[in-house]
Parts: sequence; C-alpha cells; structure tokens
Amino acid sequence: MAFFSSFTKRRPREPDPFESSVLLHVDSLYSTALRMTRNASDAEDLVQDTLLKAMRSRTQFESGTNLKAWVFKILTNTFINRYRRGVFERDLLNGPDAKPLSDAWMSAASMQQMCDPETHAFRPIIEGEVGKALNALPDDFRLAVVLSDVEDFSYREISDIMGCPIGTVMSRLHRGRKMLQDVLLEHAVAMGIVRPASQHDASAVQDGSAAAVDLGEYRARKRGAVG
Amino acid sequence: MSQSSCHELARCLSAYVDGELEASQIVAIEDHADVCAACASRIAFAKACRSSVRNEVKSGHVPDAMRMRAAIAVAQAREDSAQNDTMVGPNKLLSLRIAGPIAAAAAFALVWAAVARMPSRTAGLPLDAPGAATAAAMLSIDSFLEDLVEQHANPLPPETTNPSDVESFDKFIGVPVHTVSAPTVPAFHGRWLGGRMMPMREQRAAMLQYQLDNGRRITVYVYNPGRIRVAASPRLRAEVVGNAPMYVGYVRGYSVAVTDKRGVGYALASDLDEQENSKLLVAVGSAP
Repeated sequence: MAFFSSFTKRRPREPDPFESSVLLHVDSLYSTALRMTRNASDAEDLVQDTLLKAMRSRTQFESGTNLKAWVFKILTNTFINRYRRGVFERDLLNGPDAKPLSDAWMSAASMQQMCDPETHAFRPIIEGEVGKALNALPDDFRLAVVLSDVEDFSYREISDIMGCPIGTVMSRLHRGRKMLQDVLLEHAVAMGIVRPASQHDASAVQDGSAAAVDLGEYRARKRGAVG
Repeated sequence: MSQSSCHELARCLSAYVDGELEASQIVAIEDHADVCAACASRIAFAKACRSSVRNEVKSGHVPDAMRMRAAIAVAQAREDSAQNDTMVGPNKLLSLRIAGPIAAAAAFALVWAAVARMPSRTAGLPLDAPGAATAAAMLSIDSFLEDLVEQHANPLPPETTNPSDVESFDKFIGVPVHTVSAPTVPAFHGRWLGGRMMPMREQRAAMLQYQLDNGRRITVYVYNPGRIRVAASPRLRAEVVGNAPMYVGYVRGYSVAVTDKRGVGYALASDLDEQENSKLLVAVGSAP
C-alpha cells in the first residue's frame, strides 16, 4: 500500500493548458517542417527544437493572441537560423526573381482540363505531381504557399511569421503559385491532358497594367552598356 | 463580360481565394464570375490549386516517433524550468530524476498516436486535426450543438450590446473573439444584437447574436478549438463552402454550420436554409 500511496502522492500535477495547446499543433508543425527541410529526420529535429523553444519562452506569449501563429514564427526562425544561416538564400541575379514570369493566363480550356469538378481540386494525375513541384520552389515561396494554402494563415499572420512586409507575402504567394502552376501545366501537356496549342489564351488578361518586363534582358542590356 | 472586371479579378484573385477581401469585394467578384465563364474557370482553377496543395501536404502521416519526441521535448522543457536550469540542450543525457516523467510522456505519446489515428480522414478538414490529448476535458459535438440550438431557440438576453466590450471575452476564451465582434456582415444586411459568455461544462464559448434585415435571427458561437474539439457527428456532413471546409447539417430543425479558421472556432445556427447558413458562416469567419 505504501508503494501506491507514494506513487500517487508524488506528483499531483494538473494538465497544463499551454502544453496541451502547443501539442495540438504538432501535426501542422511537422507537415510544414517537412516541406521546409524536404527531409523527415531534419523535420523531426526542427519540430523538437521548436517545441523546446516555445516551452522555454512561454512567458513571452501574450494570451489571447494566436498561439498557432506564435509557434509557427518560432518554427520559421529556427529553420532560417539552423539551415539558412539567418536569411532565406536568394541569388538576385540568377535566382527565381530574375526569371520573368509570363503574366498571361492559361486558357480557360486548359484550366478546366486540369481540374476535377467533383473534388474541387486538380485531377489525381496532376495532384500527384504537386509534391514534386512544391519541393522545386525556392524556400520562401514554398513556405508562403504552405502557410496560406495549408495552414490558412492570413497575410498579416504570414508577414509576422516570415518577418517580411505584407506586400512581400503577396508577391511570394503570387510568384510561388504561378511557378507551381507552370510546372503542373507542363506536366499536363506531357501527359496529353492539355493540348499544347491551347496552353495560353490569346485574349488573355494581363496581370499588371504594364507589359511584363524581362528583368534578365534588362540587366544584360545594362551590363552591356556599362561594360 | 466587361474587360475591366476581368482585370479587377486578375488583380484580386489571390486575395479572393485566400479570404482576404471584404464582403463587398467578394460579392462583386462573384457577380462577375456568374456572367463570365472564363473568370469562373480562373477562380475554380485557383481554388483547385489551393486544395491540391493542401491535400498533398496533409497526406503524410506524422510518425509515432515524432509524437513521442514532441511529448518528451515538452516534458523535458517543463522539468528544465522546474529545475531552473537554462543550460540544458536537446541532446543532454537524461538524469534519473527526469527519466520518470519522460517515460510517462512517452506512454502518453503512444496513446495519443493511437487515438489520433482512429478517425478517418475527411477531405483535409481542419476540424479533424488529431490531438485528442485532453479528450476528457472536451465537450462532445452533440452536447455542443444542442447547446447552440437551445440558445438559438430560447436565447438568453445579451450581456452587452457594446462592441468594444467583446474584446474582454478574448481572455476567457483564449482566442481573439473581438475580430468578429462587430461583424455587420454587410453582404447579408444584418445588425449585431449583442453578445454574452456561455459556460459549457468546464469550457466557455462567446455567443454573438444578430438579426438580418428580413427579421431572421442568427446565433454564432465563437469557441477555442483547442479546448472544444468538434469532430465528425452522424448529424453533420463535411462540405467545402467557398474555400472553407466545414460541417453542416440540421439539429432540431435549425441549420447549423461549424468550422474553424486560423485557430478560432465558429458555429452558427439559424432558420435559414443550409446553403445560406454556411455562406453566412464563411462571411462571419472571414470578417477582418
């Protein structure tokens, strides 16, 4: 009997609401971490570090604010500091920012052919390629897309989590999605789902009011003029 | 079809599918899509892209080892803070003193993993996110809905009719209730009647009451999905309205719809038809 009473008396601990609330987000943290690191064991390390940091800095959390966004901010900072030397790496001259995006819409027919009207998602044969296409995006584009599409954070929350202005969030989302969709369109054409001729809409609406500027060409001209 | 509206849609499409537009802008875009087939395809495509990214990212299972590590990390951090030891890193060898609680955490993680696997996956509904860790303290979906419908049918008078008072609800619920405090729900021409706190067993929800211009009343519960976990019920079915996954159905003759968005739970009861009801919930849940 003495054994049992000492066992039950030892730790009359109540469940800690902060701990259980943080643990509720493990699934989301892990799936996002997996997209950040693209590697299961790194993702597990990253989530573990994030939870330790969240628990240690719990006094800094203001109750009544969004706990999930707060934990995701810790996740992002931990990822950047650990794997990206404190910044999202970006090669401005040759990286994805330098590549001009075509602003033309895909044709409505191509769009319809890629979608499954019943599931309101892409057809399975296209959806199967999304993972690969997502992993091919630059880190910051991929993270913005995952935070918005999967975790449903608002632009303001994403700007706080990623530590950048809302305008940057919007442009990362726009470019990330466009690159993703371009890859999926190529796949659809290769699979024979979309006819090559119908890829782009002749009467397409341009995204901006001005014509798309080819940044690479402009820089090459400029370098030529200087040199 | 007007070209300028297509341009407008091109500019706002991302913000529209991300739920960042105001109700009046949403109405304008949907009106345009009703008469412009090309823009309707563009919207459907943008939404499909969102859904497929979500399906893909959510398709993986969290390994049991991860759940165990998570529970252990939390238990370890708790012990560290109890010992006031700030020098402990994640790779520290475990002392006998903290091995006990950590073993308990590991056992908890195993149970958690087993419980989390039980419900079948339903179209990536956020409501289904596993984590029934504190299931004992949670309310069943049926008693939650009964309470909502009972309050809708025989409402208690509001405690406050001053929108700024609703901010004080936040600390009782643990989620930002005040973001929906004055949802004039412009698209539906309604007005806010008032709000009050509702105790529910050991939990609480904030009740917000509205009246539409056509005289119909709607009752909204704002709750903390971390504490009140809404799971599938035979009385509800999963549905995607706009971009929002939600549960909809009828309880005692009233339409109900339940969803959570960005860590805040919303449940709505009304005597409108199911479709109008769920559209309203989307509008309430996306109030700025």
